[in-house]
Amino acid sequence: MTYLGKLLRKFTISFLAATFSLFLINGLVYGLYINFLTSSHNQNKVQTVLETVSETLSQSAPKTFRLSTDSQKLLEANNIWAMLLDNQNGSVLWQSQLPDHFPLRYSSTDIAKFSRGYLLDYPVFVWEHANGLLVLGYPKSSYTKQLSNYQTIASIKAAPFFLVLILLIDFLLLFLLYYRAELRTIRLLQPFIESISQLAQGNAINLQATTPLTGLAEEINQVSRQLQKKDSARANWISGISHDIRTPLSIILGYSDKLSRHSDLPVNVQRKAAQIAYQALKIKNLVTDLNLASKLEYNMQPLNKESIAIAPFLRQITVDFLNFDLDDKYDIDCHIESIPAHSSLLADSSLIYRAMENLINNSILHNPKGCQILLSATLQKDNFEICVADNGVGISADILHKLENQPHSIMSDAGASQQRHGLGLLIVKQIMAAHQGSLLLRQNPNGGLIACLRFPICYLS
Amino acid sequence: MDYYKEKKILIVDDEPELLELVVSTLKDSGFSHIYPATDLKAARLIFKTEQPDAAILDVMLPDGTGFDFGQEIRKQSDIPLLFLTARGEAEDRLTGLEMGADDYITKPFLPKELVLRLATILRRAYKNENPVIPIAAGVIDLSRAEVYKNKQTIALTAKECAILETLYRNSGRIVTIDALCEATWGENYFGYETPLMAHIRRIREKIEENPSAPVSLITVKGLGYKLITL
Repeated sequence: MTYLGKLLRKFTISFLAATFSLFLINGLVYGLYINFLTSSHNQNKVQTVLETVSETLSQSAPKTFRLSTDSQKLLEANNIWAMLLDNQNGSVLWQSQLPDHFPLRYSSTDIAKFSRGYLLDYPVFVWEHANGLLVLGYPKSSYTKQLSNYQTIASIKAAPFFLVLILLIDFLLLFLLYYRAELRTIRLLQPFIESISQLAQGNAINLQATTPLTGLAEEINQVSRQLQKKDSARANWISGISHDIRTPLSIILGYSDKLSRHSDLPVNVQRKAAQIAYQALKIKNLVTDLNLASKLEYNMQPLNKESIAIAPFLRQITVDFLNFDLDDKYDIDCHIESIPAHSSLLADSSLIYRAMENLINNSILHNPKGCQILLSATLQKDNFEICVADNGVGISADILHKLENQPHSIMSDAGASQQRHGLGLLIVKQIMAAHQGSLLLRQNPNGGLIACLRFPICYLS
Repeated sequence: MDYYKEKKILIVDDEPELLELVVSTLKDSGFSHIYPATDLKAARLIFKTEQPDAAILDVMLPDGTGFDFGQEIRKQSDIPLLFLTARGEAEDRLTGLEMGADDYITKPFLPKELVLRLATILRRAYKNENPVIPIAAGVIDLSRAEVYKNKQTIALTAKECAILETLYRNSGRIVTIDALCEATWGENYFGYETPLMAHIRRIREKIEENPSAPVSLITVKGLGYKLITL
């Protein structure tokens, strides 16, 4: 969801930027238009023409007027007719290009009407001349005239407010439209984002997308299927290999073990056979571990959760190790007094047994001279721990850090340069991850190592 | 010689070398009636003619699976079945145990592990045949629920017999308090730890020379008990 939040924030910022630039561009274009109106057509502006004509129209004799050649040319070029009306009686004193059917005398009513509008459909403009009223008639349909051009002062004063209001409404509308569009996109994308993050965690997905993204959904599903197929192929490959190794290994292990116990053979031959049997056992454990590790890694190990009574479970593990005959070098015991009697854990008992076995075997393996091993269970505020503590040689803080934080060499892409260790701890980590728990390693204050399986408290009942 | 070693054992595995190894291992351990087969056809014939007392079955066979054959056997008989498989999958183990297998060994295995497991399931299946247990102070006869000590016969209660039987089946090994309670009182055994201790004390009075310094029924503190037989 944080990903979507980021997306939304980005969208909002880009929306603000887009709106701002939109208004800016609008303002610029409007400015350009005004500039165009005021500057480029300056010379042809009605008022200029009126002024020019008025200035260059002079009385040469009583009742005779003359217009300069330049002005005459200007009128002709723009197809403008002109006339000068007498101030007293409204008769035409002078005219230029006046259409034939025009009357030659105008009443003051006529003048009042056309001065604000049209004369026989010609848009006309008037100017005060020293000898009367100068009237210019532009070609039909060249100008439009507003017959009323008055506004109340109050409405002019309110204009800025309305302008801002209109802009605000525009802005709001734009924002809503934009927001809706983005929300739709995000809603459309959300299942994709979630699925891809599921994929990244190695889980299988099945996207059900509506149009127009069905194609994309199908492709992502295809990717998921491909990945799943690869994972299962890898796990199957390992299980196939381990299957094929098991039978020949049984024969090696079986006969070497027999030979090592064959009293007719010389002692050194018996010892060598025992070595072979020991190494075969190591391969056996490796094969079993590899198989389990790959299954856990690719989520192919089914989790059979059941209620495990903790105290009997820990006692059984302890006894199983004691019965296995530890040459009396290892003193193994369990302390379960600190947890409520009859507490039980919801987990896959064979996997948890396996995890405990691996931890105890680790203690045994790293302490060939023997040590005390103590199993214990402790209840904490938010979690529950089962620990295996030994008082053996322990490990350095540096190695402890590496064990906890570095991926195992078979899961890592860092190459073969790093130190390799067994799969035991990796399996424990995987088993705990499958139970939403974790493996914690720490140095024992009394020397040695403490390894704890930490479960969320909800697994306890 | 242990009584169960006289039992007829059917072994089915399609790998001749492995079959030979298993046969020789069992022979070396004292089993005298061993019937090997490399496929189900031969196995069915042996099962019909010899009526074995136990079967060790490989899961993957050329003409079927050991599970199928196990089910066939189960329809007619409840002899102990032990599966031997190259597949280590947990589901396989579950399938095997669900269909009534008595145990399940994953290859590769140590010969002595096979012998131990076979002995355990045979003892469990044919437990009544030799119930006389020799101990330091005398002899325990579970079939008659009696202890013979210092030329005296002492009677055992049913619960005491049940406890001793569980201990005897695992003699030499520690049995947890929980396993003993479960075997004696059934699945809901919580809260029986104290009665168990009382029973153990009474058993010691009957079978030990000196009950306060036991040598046959040993306490492993906090964990369980162990029966030492001669």
